[in-house]
Amino acid sequence: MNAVGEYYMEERHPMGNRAPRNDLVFYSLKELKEGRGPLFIDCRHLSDSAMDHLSKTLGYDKDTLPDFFEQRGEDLRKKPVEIALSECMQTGPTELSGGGIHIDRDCASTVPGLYAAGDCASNNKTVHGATTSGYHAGKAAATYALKRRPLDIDMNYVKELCANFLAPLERREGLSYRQVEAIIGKVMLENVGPERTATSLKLGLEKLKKTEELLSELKAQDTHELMRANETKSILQVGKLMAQAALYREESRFKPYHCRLDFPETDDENWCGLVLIENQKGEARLSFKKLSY
Amino acid sequence: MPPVIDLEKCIGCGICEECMADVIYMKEVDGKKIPYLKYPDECWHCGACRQDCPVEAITIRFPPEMLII
Repeated sequence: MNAVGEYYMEERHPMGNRAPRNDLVFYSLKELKEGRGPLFIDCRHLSDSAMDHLSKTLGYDKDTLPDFFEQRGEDLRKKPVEIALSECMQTGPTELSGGGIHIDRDCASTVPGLYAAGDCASNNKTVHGATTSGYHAGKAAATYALKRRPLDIDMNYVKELCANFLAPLERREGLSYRQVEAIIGKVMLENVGPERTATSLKLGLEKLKKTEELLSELKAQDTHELMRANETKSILQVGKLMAQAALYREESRFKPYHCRLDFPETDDENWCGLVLIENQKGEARLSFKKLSY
Repeated sequence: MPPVIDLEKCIGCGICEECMADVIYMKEVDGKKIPYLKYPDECWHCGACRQDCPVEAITIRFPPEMLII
């Protein structure tokens, strides 16, 4: 429901409030941008048994959500509750699949011996996906491990990796991880946001590359900040990959998750498939894998 | 806002120290181990500490800005 009392999804989509998740986000975002916010969820029409079920299960996904409602004085039975949008960008088209470590049917990645499951993988996200694929990945990994001889590890490379990891702690002065993350956050929001163009994405990438130069100046005061500083490095890397993939895919799909103002239509003929990203000596190499249903 | 830990109920087991945002640490006071919020502004109210506390010593509270805005 918007601020002028309209149940806007009923007008915007043939499936109304039961529209696909990306459409719910897309049209809600539109309402906010066109000034008809704030937005609300109205549960007053629910039967007593439906309401009981909702109240009971509200804490499953987020344990403290019932506390949040209580401390805010919300009462879903009596009044609509104000909402904000959190997923203008999703890692994939559905809860179950999309971005992540590309895996095959045995949860094997393209790195021999490395398996991935759950939210970090390109398939089988969500709780049920994670548990079942995690089990399968574990079995596959164990089978692989049983057949392998111990690896020859380059200890010089290991030393180099450790030194890089610990560097923020060793530095006498430098930048706080918060400062660098704030830059990344703003660049991603403004240039790699729900609405993107080649112009915005290229500008975003330029800014992220400049930010990358700051990573060698990160200073951590203790091991907690060391953890955060290294997370910042990963956050930047993911941000770059997101921008690169978005630039590569010249169409829009599952708006607002990938909304190219310069290619506003969904192009199934050319773009029904995955954008694959490989690490080629530190540079991202992108390719397209067509999918058929 | 960080959780409130009732030190009367707390038995110093250290389970809450496994906070996955690395917010809660244990310190020793008068020979007893007690938890404290070392990085309080990094708490994101997941409730894991409350769930795992064996003596229900932990209460979750949200910061005023989240309750008003």
